Amino acid sequence: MDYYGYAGKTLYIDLESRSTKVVPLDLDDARKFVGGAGLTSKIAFDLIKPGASPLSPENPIILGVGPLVGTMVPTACKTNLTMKFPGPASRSENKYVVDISVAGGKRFGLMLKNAGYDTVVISGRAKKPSYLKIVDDDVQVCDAADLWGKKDIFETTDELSSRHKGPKGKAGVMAIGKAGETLVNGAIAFVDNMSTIGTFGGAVFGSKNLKAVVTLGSKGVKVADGKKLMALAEKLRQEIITHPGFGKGRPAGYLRSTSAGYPDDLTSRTKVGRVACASCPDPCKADHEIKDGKFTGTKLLDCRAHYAFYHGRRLRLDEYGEILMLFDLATRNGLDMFTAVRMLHFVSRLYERGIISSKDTGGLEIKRGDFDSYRKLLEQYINRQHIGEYMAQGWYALSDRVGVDAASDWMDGASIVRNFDTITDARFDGFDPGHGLAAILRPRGQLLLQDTMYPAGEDIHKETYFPEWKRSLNDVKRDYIEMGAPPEEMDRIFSKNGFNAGRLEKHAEDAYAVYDCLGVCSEGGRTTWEPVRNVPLLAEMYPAATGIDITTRELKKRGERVWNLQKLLNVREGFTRKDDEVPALWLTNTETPLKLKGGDKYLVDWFGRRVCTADIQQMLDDYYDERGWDINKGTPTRQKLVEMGLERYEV
Amino acid sequence: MDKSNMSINPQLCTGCACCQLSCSYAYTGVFNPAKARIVPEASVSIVFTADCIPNCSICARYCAQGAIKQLEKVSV
Repeated sequence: MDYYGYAGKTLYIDLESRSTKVVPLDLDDARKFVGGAGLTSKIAFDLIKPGASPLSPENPIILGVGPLVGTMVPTACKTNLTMKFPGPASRSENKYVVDISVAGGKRFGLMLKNAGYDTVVISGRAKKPSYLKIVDDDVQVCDAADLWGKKDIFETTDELSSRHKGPKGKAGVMAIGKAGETLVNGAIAFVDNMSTIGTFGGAVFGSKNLKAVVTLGSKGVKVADGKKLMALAEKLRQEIITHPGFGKGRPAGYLRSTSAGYPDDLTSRTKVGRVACASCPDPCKADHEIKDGKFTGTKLLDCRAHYAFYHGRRLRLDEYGEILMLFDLATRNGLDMFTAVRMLHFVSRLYERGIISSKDTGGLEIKRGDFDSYRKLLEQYINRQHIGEYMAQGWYALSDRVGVDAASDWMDGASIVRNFDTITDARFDGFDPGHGLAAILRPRGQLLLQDTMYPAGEDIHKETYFPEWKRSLNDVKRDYIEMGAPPEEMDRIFSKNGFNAGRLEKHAEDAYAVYDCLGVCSEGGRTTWEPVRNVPLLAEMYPAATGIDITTRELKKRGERVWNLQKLLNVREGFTRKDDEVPALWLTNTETPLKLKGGDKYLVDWFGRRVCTADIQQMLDDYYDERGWDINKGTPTRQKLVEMGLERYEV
Repeated sequence: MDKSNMSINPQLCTGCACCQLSCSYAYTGVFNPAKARIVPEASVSIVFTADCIPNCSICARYCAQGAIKQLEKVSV
């Protein structure tokens, strides 16, 4: 059978027996779940055993690339990862979330598709440290004795991408570092030395003795109507490269406003090379070089320098080079850099407050603002030594150990949802749908990119604020239409002076599922404007690539189906609305202000209005109502499952 | 392959592979970097293969970074 857009095969690997199996893609499944995250979710439902431990051989790692991946469609490079994540995600029950993670990359997804696979299922546990090689039909579980415990993520990626290099380029590599090997809770995997994937899930790779996955392919990606797809891709490409924001990179935004005494131009000052994902004409990643202080001349891969301001200031580090070095140390050891620096802050403050002492740290005296103290504490965390053993078990275990709940510690804690610290903090960023509701609703407390994540302009009725880093109500309405949401229902979502956050969130999620299913970037190459986040445009590209006809409305509905299926994966693990944990610090902030230079700051919504606990619950009510789910349980109803064609997945 | 009609600057290359995708599609009708007639390695080198066509500049057309630019047509 000829496949267009799709590679047409699913690859199954059992690490223990080293056996592989290739199964043709069922086009009915492809039509129903689109591809990428849709197919990984479907397979996850079939293979993940409810209640099984995330670190057991029974928890498969499921990788997927959507039907646009490998084409010229700008940003179509994404790899999805679905699996059960270590936690536990509850204080009182032993239960774990199943989630979709997604990453870009310059080679990994592109080469996986070119090797001939849409989806890869990795199960079992290798008897000894191994890596998985996928080079066209040559699929092997290879010995990783020279890498495991010896090489960090960057070194492993360099080594394997060269070792399996093809005549026309290097191999793609997804790898873990030491934190994944030692099963640290906050571990990540990293793709092509440029993108995190599976945040909080690196330990699943470690539990399988799986150091890396390598991809290289030469089979190519055939599409149904190349002329049309190229014309659509070119239209989008032109929109990107002629835009005034082209080439500007990521803005520092609010992160710069929390001055740490670092140079305002830190990001541009240290940038030495821009790094793109496959098919993206306007990269948002960059390599950096420290230009000042004691680490001058040190080069750093994907260190996300724009986050230095907030975290460097919090750790009281004098030099920006010091926080960048900590980011680098965390990343190369396979630890989420945000969780790492938040843990360092929390534990170092506990030490300062006298709650823990050098007895807990193996004799290490922790001095706030001292780079060496932090570096040694980070090593304890990665190697699970002394207090690091509890840091490695996650926020809940650490809190229990020290007798201070990090989730509710006003000055030194973190915004925590189900044992995961959220990427941003709504106390500072506002309780908008993308930062606030998304963190409560998404299994690992992740963000969900949409226009409301940017601050509202002073006049929300202004036509547009571009190129300023702000949004008007018109921008949010345009975003709603580009989510593929029904224009005739706009009056239900929007009022003259606002919108219903809970209802808007539902449509943003459906659209997000569409991007993850097709394999395009939800940032669209930019954080300030998002030409790729456009479901109507994608509804033209999908048929051109696959030959499967679809309308905007139908594609959006597919996204909704996949989001429902992802919810069912978690309902099956025992999650209901009771688990919609609102970070305690945000709840406190509804009554207790942050004392900032500009004055008292309470928790506010996108419009800058104060939000109380009842408002948040009302937003959740509206969200569940818009979803057509049971408002009290927060789970899909039978009626909804019938509407979605998901009856067989009823939990 | 002599591609003296092209200006090359690997330092500007971001590794997006648009050159390989457009080249392979133009000559095979399939997106396949392994069939491309150009091998880019960001910051290191951009090499044209022996079967690259003189005067063809499809890769330059799709290089948004200016790492590959067409200078002028050469007579063959």
